[in-house]
Amino acid sequence: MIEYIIKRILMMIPVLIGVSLLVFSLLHFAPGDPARIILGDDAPVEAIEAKREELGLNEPFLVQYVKYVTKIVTKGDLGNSFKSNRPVTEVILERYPTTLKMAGCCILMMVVMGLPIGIISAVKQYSLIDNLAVTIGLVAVSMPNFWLGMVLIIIFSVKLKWLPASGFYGWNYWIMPAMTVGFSNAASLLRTTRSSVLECIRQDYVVTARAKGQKESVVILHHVLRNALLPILTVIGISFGIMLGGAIVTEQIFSIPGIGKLMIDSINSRDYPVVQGAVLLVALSFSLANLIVDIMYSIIDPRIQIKGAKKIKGAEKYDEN
Amino acid sequence: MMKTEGGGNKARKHRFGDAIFQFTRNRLAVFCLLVLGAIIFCALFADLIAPFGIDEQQISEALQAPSRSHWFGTDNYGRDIFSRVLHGGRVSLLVAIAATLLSTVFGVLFGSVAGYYEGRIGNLIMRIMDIFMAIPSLLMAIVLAASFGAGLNNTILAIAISSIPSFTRVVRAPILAVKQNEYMEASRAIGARTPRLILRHILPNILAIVIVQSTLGVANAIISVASLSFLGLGVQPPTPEWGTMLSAGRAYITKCYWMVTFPGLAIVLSVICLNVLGDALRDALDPRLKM
Repeated sequence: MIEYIIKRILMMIPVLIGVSLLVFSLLHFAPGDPARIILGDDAPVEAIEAKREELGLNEPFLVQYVKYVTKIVTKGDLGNSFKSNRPVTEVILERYPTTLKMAGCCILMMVVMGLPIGIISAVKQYSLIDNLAVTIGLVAVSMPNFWLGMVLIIIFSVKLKWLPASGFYGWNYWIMPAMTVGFSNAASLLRTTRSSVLECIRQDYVVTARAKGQKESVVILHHVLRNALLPILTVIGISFGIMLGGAIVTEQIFSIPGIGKLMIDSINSRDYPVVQGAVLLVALSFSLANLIVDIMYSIIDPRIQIKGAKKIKGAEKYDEN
Repeated sequence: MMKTEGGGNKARKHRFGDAIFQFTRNRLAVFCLLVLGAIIFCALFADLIAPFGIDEQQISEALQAPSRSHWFGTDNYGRDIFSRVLHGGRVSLLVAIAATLLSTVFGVLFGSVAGYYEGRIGNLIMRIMDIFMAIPSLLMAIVLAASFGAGLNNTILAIAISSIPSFTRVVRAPILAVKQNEYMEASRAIGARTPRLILRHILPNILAIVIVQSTLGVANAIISVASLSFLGLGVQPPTPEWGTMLSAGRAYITKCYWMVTFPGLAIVLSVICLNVLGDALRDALDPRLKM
């Protein structure tokens, strides 16, 4: 087990190096000269040239990249923001707690809404509740969640005046963003839970458990749910991984100062070091979330040979924030 | 979800016929196909159907609520939102379909190569895909769009590239399985060459999954296009596109709900239809894939 975890962590290193190269080259060739961005359009040519030299922008691309990675590995230094001239690590870490809190709220919302309804829906297949849940689930996964966010603002802030439309100060500011992200994720969890429970509910061991006279709640929770848990866990894990990268569009709508908003603001102001750093952090969180899901597979289901830990069916249709 | 009981004898004779038969039994899917057809029709013939031009500004009629003359109301420039939603559909669907086509072609190509030639080439392709998949696909599309610059073609390219990895994975897995089948060995034993093996045995086996994935892919692409445009990284105003319309409406959300409601409903309706269609196609073409 420990050997596997170490191996998986080691396997993450080339992927992260690849991500850094990819993002570095994409933003390196993006339109706009960093020196001009820092100094402004009116700066004299000499000043811009001096700035380019100072930033090392006149060096060959690969030299710049190697220097960038070396600094990250040796000093944990992601460079300085073009805009504020502060270290990127500082700028990102300032925003990360908000994103973490958001992700926690959204996951809670997702599990509380999606899991029980998914189970009930499968147990009472083709009933009114099931039909309703399936319909709502379909509509919710088909809705861009930023649109849902705007609809919620219209209803709860504009018409009913119950909740504040933007910002992130007290608990009441969290409800709508968490609902926006949580709702569509809950819908995909509901769909996965339903189909996974349906697959297990017709198995022989469930018939046996019932024949033994086991209580229905025990049958469902102990026999069915335990076996149906893997795809459910995958969806929760992947959603959490994506949420750690910030609910990009949702943060924009509700003006939440998280990592997603930081990324978009930095893209708009061409503050590329911040974008690079943030994307790297997201890739790291996402890979770690995937690793944790894989490890949990083997804890929940010892039959799974961890060597070939596979992606479970049901997660492929998953969409992000 | 449709029930899969026995079908008519005639339809069973042919796999394709059987699939169509199964599909038509799913009433919801047929209904969604008709609605989608109507949406595409409206988008294609927007010039003839739309009562106003996309840039026809009547400042005196700005920000009007839905009425008999303006079904979906008017925006801040006094442009008719109904007409813009119809024209916007043309752009949104075009971008989504073009991006999905591109990602399907390259996904099938990379997936087939990676699956068929498992060795060094296959490994290299999959490791590159791992790198792309370490970044959530919407974020990948955002970074690509930021790098390429905004605009219609760049948006198509950004969304296409960000969806190639998942296509590659989806295509590769069944190819690995098909390769193990005895008929492949038999075919090889009687002297069939690689092109014949791929065309006769492998492609027909992955066709179902490719069709299903592309249908669901268009649905996802519509949402991605809208998200990119909403963030100002995709299609640029004044081109009417559902995402840019939502973005413009955001500033007026407190007074004019119709500016964000109708473009959003257009997105939801198209995506629901495509999702239902994708699920139904999965059930009809390959019941083994049923979720």
